[in-house]
Amino acid sequence: MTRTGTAAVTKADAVAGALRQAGELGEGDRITGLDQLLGGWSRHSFFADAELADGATRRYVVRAKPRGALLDTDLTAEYHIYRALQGTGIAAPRAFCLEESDDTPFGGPFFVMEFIEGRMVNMFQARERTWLEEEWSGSRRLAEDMVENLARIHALPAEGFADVPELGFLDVVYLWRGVYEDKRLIRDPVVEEAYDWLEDNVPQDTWTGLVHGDYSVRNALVADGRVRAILDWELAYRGDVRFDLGYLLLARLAGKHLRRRSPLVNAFAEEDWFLERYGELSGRRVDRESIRPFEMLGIIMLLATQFTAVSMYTHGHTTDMRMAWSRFSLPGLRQDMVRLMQW
Amino acid sequence: MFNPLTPAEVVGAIGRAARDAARSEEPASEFARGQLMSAYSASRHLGVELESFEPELRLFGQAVAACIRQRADAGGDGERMAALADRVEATSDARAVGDAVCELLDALRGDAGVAAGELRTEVRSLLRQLADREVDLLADVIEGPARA
Repeated sequence: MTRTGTAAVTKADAVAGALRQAGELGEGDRITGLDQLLGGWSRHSFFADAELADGATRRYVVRAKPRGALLDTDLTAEYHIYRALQGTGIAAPRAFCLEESDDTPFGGPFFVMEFIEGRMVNMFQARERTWLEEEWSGSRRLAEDMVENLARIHALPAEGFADVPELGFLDVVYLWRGVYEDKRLIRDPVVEEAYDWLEDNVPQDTWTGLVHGDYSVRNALVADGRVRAILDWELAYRGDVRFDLGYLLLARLAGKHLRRRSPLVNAFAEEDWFLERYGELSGRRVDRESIRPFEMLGIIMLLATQFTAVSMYTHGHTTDMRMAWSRFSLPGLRQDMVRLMQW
Repeated sequence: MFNPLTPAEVVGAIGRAARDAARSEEPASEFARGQLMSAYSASRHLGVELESFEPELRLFGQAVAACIRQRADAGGDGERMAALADRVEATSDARAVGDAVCELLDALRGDAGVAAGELRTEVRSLLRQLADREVDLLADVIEGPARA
């Protein structure tokens, strides 16, 4: 976590001002600390600590979209999603206020939301996968929470999410193919065949609803073996919700970098159980074969972020070594693509 | 094998991460340590690449060229296909091989004939083998030998 002198004070004032305007803080309340969290290429997240006039303390989370973010996603839409999730039974923090200006101390728009105790589980770490497997072998509460929240998300009426983009299956393909064409530094025959494969495998039906777009235990806050909040809605769109199922089924989401690491879906549940339980909760039986195009959609989305990261590094927009390292994530994903296409 | 950033560019990135760490006057933060760990991981992957990718890519190119020449009537333009075969077997540069194979597949996509279909299947099979080989070479070093 980092703290800088004058810049932190200015950001703190901006957060305090926004919270006062929303009625969440009073005139005598102050933001006394602002610490940036690790991670996040398209969003910067901060803990904002408040000291209230009566001596109590409170913590908030600030989400900001800095200039030159990895993906040009809509922070305003993300804020409205959090607002719309209130009262739906989906685990989500309250969002209090949004500052839409590009000219803020955070380098772009930001919003402030409720702090919820919990941690994000990193399925790429062996000890975390072991813990997830123990949870699966034991109470299974985490697995139940993950599938219940997903089914609820997919059942939400579209009317509450008017400013979330609506994307058909091919819209998603063209979106990520466009990123490849724009950002690629080398032509990849497997990737280009995959885009054509997707155009040849458009599903005949559509399960329309709110798609999270990056649903994973890594984007859930977990405490005491329970899901306390679903986070990171910046890739959400209105479209075929089977994207979230396909994405979860990727070996990558079970911790694969090169070799498969866990037989469990997203390292938290057996595949048959997960799909059957989702079917029970959603009222829709999942045909496993029908999910394959959505697995491929998930891979091309991941690839788009990797291509963008490497391109940003190459063109000097960032010196973050993790962006350059992204090129090493391609071999594992390429292998998954050739297997999906059954070459 | 068709990975953005050349090995030389990756070496440059690793060097910059080391330089930034050396020049920093701040105590090592979690972010700064993460940068160095990424650089270390990159060096391990790059070591495998420098040691073993070039001969694999050369073998792949030769196999693709042989397939093209065996199906001389695929892809429409015989001269163009012969030129692609020459290009793909003459280099082990990933960018050049990627370009040639993409152009080959583009040409075959527009040809509904049996020979084109068979050639496409063979090239895809070779790409699959190459993808698996790349993962195995990296995984043996990065993640240890596969468990039986």
